[in-house]
Amino acid sequence: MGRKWILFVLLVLLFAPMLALAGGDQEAAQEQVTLQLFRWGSGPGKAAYDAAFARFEMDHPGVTVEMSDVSWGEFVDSMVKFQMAESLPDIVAQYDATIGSFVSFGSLLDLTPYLPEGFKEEFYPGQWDHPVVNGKPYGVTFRNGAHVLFYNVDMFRDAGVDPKGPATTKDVVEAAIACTVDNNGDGTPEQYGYMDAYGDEEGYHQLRSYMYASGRNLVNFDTMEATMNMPEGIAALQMLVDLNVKHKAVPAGALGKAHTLRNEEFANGLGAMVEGGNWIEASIRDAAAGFEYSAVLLPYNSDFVDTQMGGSAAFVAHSVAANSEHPELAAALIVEQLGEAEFIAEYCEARNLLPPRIDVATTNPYWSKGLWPVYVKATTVPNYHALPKHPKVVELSKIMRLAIEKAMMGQATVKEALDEAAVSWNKIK
Amino acid sequence: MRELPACAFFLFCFILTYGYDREMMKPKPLRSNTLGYIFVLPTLLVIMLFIGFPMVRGINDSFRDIELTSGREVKYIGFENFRNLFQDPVFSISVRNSFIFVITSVSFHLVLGFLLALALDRSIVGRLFFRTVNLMPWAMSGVAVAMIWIWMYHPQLSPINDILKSLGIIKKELVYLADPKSAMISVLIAHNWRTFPFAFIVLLSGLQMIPGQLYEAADIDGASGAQKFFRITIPQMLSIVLTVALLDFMWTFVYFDLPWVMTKGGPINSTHLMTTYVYEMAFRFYKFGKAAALSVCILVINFIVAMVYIYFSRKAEAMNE
Amino acid sequence: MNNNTVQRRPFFNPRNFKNSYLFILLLIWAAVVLFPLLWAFVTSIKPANELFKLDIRWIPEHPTLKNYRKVFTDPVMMRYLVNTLGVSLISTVIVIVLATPCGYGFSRYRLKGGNVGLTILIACQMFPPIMFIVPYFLLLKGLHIYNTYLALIITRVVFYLPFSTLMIKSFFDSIPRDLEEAATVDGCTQLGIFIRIILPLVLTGVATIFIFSFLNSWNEFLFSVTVVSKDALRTITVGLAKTKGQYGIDWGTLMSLSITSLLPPLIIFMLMQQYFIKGLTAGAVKT
Repeated sequence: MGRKWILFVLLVLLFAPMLALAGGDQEAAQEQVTLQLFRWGSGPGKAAYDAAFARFEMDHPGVTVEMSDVSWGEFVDSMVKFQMAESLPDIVAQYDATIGSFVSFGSLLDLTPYLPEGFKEEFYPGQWDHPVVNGKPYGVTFRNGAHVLFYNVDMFRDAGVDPKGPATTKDVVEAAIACTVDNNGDGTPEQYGYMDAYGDEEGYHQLRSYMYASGRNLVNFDTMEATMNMPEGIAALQMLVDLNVKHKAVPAGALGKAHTLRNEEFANGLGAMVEGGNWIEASIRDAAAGFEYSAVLLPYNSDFVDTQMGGSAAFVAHSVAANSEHPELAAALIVEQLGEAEFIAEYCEARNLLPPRIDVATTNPYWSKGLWPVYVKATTVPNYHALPKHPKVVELSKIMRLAIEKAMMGQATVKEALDEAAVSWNKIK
Repeated sequence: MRELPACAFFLFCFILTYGYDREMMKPKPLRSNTLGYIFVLPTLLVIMLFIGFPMVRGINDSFRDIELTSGREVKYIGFENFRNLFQDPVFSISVRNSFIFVITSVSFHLVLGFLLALALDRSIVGRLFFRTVNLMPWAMSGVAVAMIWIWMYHPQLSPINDILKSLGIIKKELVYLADPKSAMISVLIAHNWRTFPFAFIVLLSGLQMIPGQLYEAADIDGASGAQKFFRITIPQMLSIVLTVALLDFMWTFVYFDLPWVMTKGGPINSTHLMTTYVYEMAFRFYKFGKAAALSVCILVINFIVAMVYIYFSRKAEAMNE
Repeated sequence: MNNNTVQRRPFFNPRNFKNSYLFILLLIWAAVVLFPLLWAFVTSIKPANELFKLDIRWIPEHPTLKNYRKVFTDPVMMRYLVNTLGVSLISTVIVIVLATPCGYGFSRYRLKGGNVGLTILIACQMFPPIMFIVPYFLLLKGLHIYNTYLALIITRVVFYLPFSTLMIKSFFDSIPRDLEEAATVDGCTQLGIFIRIILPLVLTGVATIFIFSFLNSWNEFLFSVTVVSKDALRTITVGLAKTKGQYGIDWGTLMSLSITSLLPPLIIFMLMQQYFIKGLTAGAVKT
């Protein structure tokens, strides 16, 4: 028996080197140029990329485009590793939490010399502005989403709430209380008024959205001074805390849930309202729970200002790496294909997202049906800003997360929590 | 010159352990040592190259200010990172959490592992089934286990809550990961569910190695079950138990996957371990120097624990003579 | 107790009582251990619209194998499984081949600085692996073996080698030296002694480090994500992480994939069971 095992071991060791070196990066033929594109996610939308690559390769013989992707949770880590090695793939996807940081590291290329005349005007100004840092465009937006408030029309009607949908945050609270229903009196509602979740790094987006809908952002864009503890912020956080703690209109345990869970809970009919991106509509359709739903622009706090501006954005842009060996080709791919109507229309339709290009949004019939007019309205405002494009934006998200958690657990009042957040931010900005 | 701190550290370790060398010398048969070196060298070489080298770099990085900016200059800043770290309130929280996490886990592993090893060493009906079942959780990755338990911990959809409610033990659903008071316990349960099989399997194989003659001889002498346990099993297992305890301590102390995926530091940092804080510092706040400093703290703590182990294992060896 | 002897005892014997008491306890513990896996399985056969019902059920109304079909008909996922299997097996074999002689060397030879070697083995497990992510990335890119199976194998071998060596060393330690002395007297070469006499005695130890290395290789996530970026080379743990999307988590696929990736290591463990029977090693030492 010993002989057989030794034979097995030897065989494995013999084949190991052959297999081990398989899959290495093959050096392409002399004339070939390969562009690498790096993004997160897979599945829907890949077809749009493949089609765009095919078109580009036809126009530029001798050039191949390869795509590599990684899961959402690993994207930032991969970007950090690439930057440490100073070898990012030629084109990378970027979003609000990364663009400020990676511009400050010098990872991304200023695209100004590569953008043709009039290209910028083909985009909504607010959408174009997302990847613009320090006045220079470091990327081209190709997808976006609007933060709106979804609500279950059937539940509203049954509770006697106006099915037109809430317009102010006061309406939201009243509707949430009315829609929290405990039929069998066992202390646990069978239906909740508002779905909520703060358990991960994106959990604070909602607070940001409500603040922004009332006319205030977390941070002053020009001075970078903290403004989250101004009255608009305090009122927004107070509303969320009250919904969770005082009115118990939210299912217990919001602090521990990933922020995508509230979408699924709403889509499956657990509750009457949820704030979030318009992509929730895809979850609702997939869940096929059979209820009538609608969406409104994010309600604003009428104590402050009548803005009705919708929520902050969730854009993604394509950027070119500063270390790219073929920046002109990479930029050409973006300008000719990835920033053009054909790709953007195909991609956004597949992923149920908003196109940043004016021609696509206004002429393509897909975006005039159903609730799209509501979503589009949310993103066409001129100064539709998202996050400050500051290198320390991720630390800001941690600071906000702590503030929300402390306020929810009652370890601090809303004002104390936000004041502490402001102090922390001003220290590190 | 730049490598000086790390070299000093290793020199210190070498001197410390060299003192034990004399105690290690057991009578060994006279033979040529060449074969011994050939046996030992490949492994040590691989380890020095792939672990020793990055480790030295990591220790060195803790004395530097590392920026992610392209074309950066890496500045030497001495103990600045450490000073920053010790003034950081999250640092002391993470140290406390790490100790709670590790000591609870290791104790649980040892006790449960030993009991299971004893139980499944004897011939009992369905032994293969029980051994397999008790190994299953270890066959899953930390990420998978984290996600399964996150799903089990969903307050409204949790089967655990469902059972507890129908038994009347709780009225309101438990929120597990959402409350700083219960988050750590929840993470501990998920973690230990996955990792207990290791101690079990090692202790089981340790039990296998105890020669049957010892028990037979004791039987002939008319020893009771308890006597056999305390006079034969425990002394024979002592060194393996200590080794498992040390290794388990160190591995759990540097473990990262599951706690991070489950809570990313948890409500109000209540599940932030030293390792999750290292990760957050490096990959979210981009402060690699400070992260390296925290890693060095982890290293130092592990080192002290290893010294304690060596002390106790000497005692155990003396007992065995 | 030596289980080579089966003794028939009357049913109401104290030994049988103790064993059946034990059996019940083990059964209860097995239920506790299987509980999450059962819930994962139930979730994996539920259609998506039953996952979020507040009325929690263990038996789905309309069970479906859709999630499993998705996994088994997806060539990418199958590729992940094959990759993981291959890489884990190869790295485990390499670990055994490297660790066993090393453990023997530390156990039997008085080597200069042998104690330092042991200290190194212990010390290299003291540093958090997350700090190795960036250095490994840089190192593998520099050596041009980034995106190869070799990269995956190296990261696995390197992290499980220290423990394996220590473990098998303690197995060697427990074998008395008289055996080797007797063999030397009989005229056996040192290498011969090692291969023919000592090695078969530590098969339990070898099986232990096999299981340890294989299971850990199978589950390895952090470095599998770091060292390869091509889909053709990825492992199953990375595939699992992909079910967590930016806009939602695909619970059904996640559960079915978790359960599917549980099976190969389990099967291998069951095949290794025979090495955990006492009597293989005991009785080989004749005093």
